[in-house]
Amino acid sequence: MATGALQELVKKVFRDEKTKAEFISNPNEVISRFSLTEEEKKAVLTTHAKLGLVTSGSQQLDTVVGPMMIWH
Amino acid sequence: MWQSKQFTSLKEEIEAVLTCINNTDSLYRIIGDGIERAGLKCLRSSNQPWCLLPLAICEGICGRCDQAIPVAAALYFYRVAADIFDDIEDQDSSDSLSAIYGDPIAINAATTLLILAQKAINRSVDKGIPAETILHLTEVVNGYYINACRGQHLDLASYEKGVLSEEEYMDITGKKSATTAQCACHAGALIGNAKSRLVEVLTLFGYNLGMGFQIADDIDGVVHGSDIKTHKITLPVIYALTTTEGNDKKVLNQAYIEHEESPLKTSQIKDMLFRTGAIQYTILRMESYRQCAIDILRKAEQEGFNSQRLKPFLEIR
Repeated sequence: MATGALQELVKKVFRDEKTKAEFISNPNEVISRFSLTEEEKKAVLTTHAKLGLVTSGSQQLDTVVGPMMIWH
Repeated sequence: MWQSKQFTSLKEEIEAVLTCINNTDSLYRIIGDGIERAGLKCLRSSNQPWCLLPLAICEGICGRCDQAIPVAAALYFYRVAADIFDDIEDQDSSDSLSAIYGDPIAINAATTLLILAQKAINRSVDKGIPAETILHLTEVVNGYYINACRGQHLDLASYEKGVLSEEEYMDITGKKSATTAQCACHAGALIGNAKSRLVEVLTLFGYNLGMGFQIADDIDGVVHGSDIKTHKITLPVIYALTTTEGNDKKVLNQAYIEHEESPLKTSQIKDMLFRTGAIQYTILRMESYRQCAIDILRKAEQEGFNSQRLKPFLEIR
């Protein structure tokens, strides 16, 4: 699974206010600039739809992470 | 309903295997304590405990799952043993068996659990599983747990090395953590007598599910602060150490590399990991594995697999 492009995308979105605004309004256009795998593209769009850009106060975080918490 | 019924069957099987230890022995009580702790976590943490994966896989192949109960019990014993050993090695838990009873007693309890796991697998014969399948199953399970030991070794040895690259971290995660789900799916497929192509597909499904589970654990460790307090280097921290600059990098280096007393509180480091995109990135990595697992499940369906019992693990309908 490739990771470099995903890391670059997140870095750009969180560091550059213009890219962040573009990503919030049109994530499809922004992700087309990065060589993401199909799974990564789906992951970005699914997460964007459910959570947007997460903050430490994100109320919806548990609904995304909680179902995957099945260890133990 | 299905889950509750299977969980009861699994608990009964675990109790049946435990009868080989005299229930008046304190060893029986201590092992029971370890299982109870793991079981309680299992019930608390989720409605889809991983220990039901062999049953869900087996039923998806042949329409029934009772014959997978012994191997599910075996994998549960292995996991509890691995957790006890892990707590002894890490010494980072105040409510572990080793913290309560001491290392020697905990080591002996974990060793006993490994032997009980072998006994549990052999009980598959009572469910009509052929001896050659049980032998093959034992080889497969041993292979996964040798891999888990390799992952644990790399993890322990990495303390000397400092911060791992993301690639190294994911390699360790694959060996040490994803193994549990991967092994559970592989074992369920073998008990269900799946064709080799379907066994491969379901094993790959288990790997991706296991990776997603572990990364979710990494996120939880930051959100609830437990990993920050112990300065545990997990995926969000590796991302932040790799991509941040200036004061953020200096503070993270102090906390995670130089092990100095951080001037920041847990909540401030947590905020930093959110602000820098480290948590966003980690969520995307988790979601990528979940998407892979969903795609693989579709391939399994094309091979005739009924995925109804697995869909809740991925929150899909």
